[in-house]
Amino acid sequence: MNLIEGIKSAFKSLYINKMRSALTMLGIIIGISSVILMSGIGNGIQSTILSDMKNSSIGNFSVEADMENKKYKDRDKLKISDAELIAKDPRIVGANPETTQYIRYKLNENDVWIYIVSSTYGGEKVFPLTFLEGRSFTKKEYSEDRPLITIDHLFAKELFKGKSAIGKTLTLKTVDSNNIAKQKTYYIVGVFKNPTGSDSPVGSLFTQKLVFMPLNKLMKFKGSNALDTINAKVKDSSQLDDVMKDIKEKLELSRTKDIYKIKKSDEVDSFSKILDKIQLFVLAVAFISLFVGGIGIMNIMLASVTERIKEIGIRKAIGARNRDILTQFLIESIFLSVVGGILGVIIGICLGNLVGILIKIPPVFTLKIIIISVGVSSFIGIAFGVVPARKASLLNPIDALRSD
Amino acid sequence: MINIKDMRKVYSNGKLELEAIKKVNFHIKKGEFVAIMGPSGSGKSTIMNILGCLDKPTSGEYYLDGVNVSHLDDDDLSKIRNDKIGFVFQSFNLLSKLTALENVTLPLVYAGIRKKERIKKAKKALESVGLSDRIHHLPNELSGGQRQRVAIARALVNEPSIIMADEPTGNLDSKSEEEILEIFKGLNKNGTTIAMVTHEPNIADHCKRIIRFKDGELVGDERL
Repeated sequence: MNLIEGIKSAFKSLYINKMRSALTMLGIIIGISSVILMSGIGNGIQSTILSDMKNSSIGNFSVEADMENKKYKDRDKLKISDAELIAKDPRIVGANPETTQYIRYKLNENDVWIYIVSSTYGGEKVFPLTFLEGRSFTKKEYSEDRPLITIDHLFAKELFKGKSAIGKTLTLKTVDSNNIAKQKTYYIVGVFKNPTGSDSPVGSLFTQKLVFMPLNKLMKFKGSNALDTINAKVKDSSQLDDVMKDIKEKLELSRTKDIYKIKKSDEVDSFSKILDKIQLFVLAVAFISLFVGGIGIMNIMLASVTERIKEIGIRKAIGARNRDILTQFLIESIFLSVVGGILGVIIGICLGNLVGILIKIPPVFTLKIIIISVGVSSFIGIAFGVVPARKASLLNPIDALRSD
Repeated sequence: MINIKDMRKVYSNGKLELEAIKKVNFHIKKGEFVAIMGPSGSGKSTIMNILGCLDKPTSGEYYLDGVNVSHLDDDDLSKIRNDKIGFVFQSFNLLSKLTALENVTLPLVYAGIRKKERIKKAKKALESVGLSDRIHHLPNELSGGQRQRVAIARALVNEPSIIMADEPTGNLDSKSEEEILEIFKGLNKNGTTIAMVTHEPNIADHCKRIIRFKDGELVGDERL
């Protein structure tokens, strides 16, 4: 019996048991469609949320003083003048002296964390922001004493429910270095697009509530004039390593060696690493369901062998060889899993687009994952089909004929 | 054509051993119509299975068309069954989901014959048993006699050396029984060798020769 005859006869016997074939396939369909769905959504999140971050952070690096180091002395503290020194390098676009502060804020009865980042004049050169409403601080406002802030658009949406945030106030509480609680009310002058944020509910899990405040005001608010970091950016990212080395040397010229840690911006990398891990985990779960689907195929094929013992006996009596019977059953299980796999891909893509619309992240389906899924499902068809097919092929024709 | 030499068949089930066939010798020549008779437990079904290459003897030789088939492996036996043997069973053993024509073409599928040729041969075989007008019927749309005729067509379609019939009329009414026996006689007249297991003397009387078994031994061989 050749292959085409085998496929025809497998198709016929599956067609005769339509309901059972469909239910068996369902296991594979669910497995494959969840693999496709999960990877599509995962890739969608990666590309939507991370692409902006990635583009804006190429060539960025940060300078920090390692205060935990035993050799650290007071003179090693990062100062605004250090940022000016770095900015003087012609290969540098800009250098922002920066301090940050996490504070708790009561938002709709929930405690949330707000990340306050200092802002300096011209800081957009290193860390560009898009203002959706209002404006950034003016040069004058950086030196004035008025309590002004800008906030990100997602935080603004949560605070003011779609109404304009401009001119509204935000009261922030903190505990200063002398353990004295204090609070201050700030006026919002601008709303910028959250660079890591997304409108989608999934994206918001990873989104920080960002507040920008002129550097001197944040220092005052914190009660400390220490800088956390200097964030800088090079013009040509291929020179980044050279520039980082030169800056380290320059900073160490008059101070303690090996105190300064200069790192390429890895915020995006670590963020995408977390996403990768989450995606891997979800895919593993999806593959487990695929495995369960495979066991379903094996189960049904074993039942089908038992049910069709007589048929096997008849086929053998009239001349079917062991391998003809083996091929027949194997083709049936491969057919189930391959067709199930293809349907799974189609359903997965449809579901992915549907979920994508709901969470406002367009899914990204790669050819690679589609090929892998169909490959895995065909493999499952073979792997889980072999046991029943072998069982069928090795049946003794006399016993098989005698059974009812 | 069939030559059985010192054949024994022992079934062993752990400790228990049952000698179903005890050292049997006989020939069947081309063109014979042989009835194999005996009470149940006499070993006639075992002989039938071995003659039909569904089973192997424990010892002794079985020559079919000059080939010693007693030591062949499963696949070679399948090929012999496909080429040289046509089966007709008491319970018809048609595939219930296939039409009469598809059932009859099945041996040709395993013989690797092309579709056009298969259908031509199968139609011819069905015609020879008088079922030309029923070729697209499923077995459960046919009467018992018609089903058995489909089974005979299937047994014939590969032009086998011998047709093995195991109580072919056991499930049939007397009218159908008559029909089937007439078909067998007609086939035999045209040169087909037939071996038929039966326990009914009136059916055996249609044959040209009767071989009798009792307790695994050949106890009688008469020509009518």
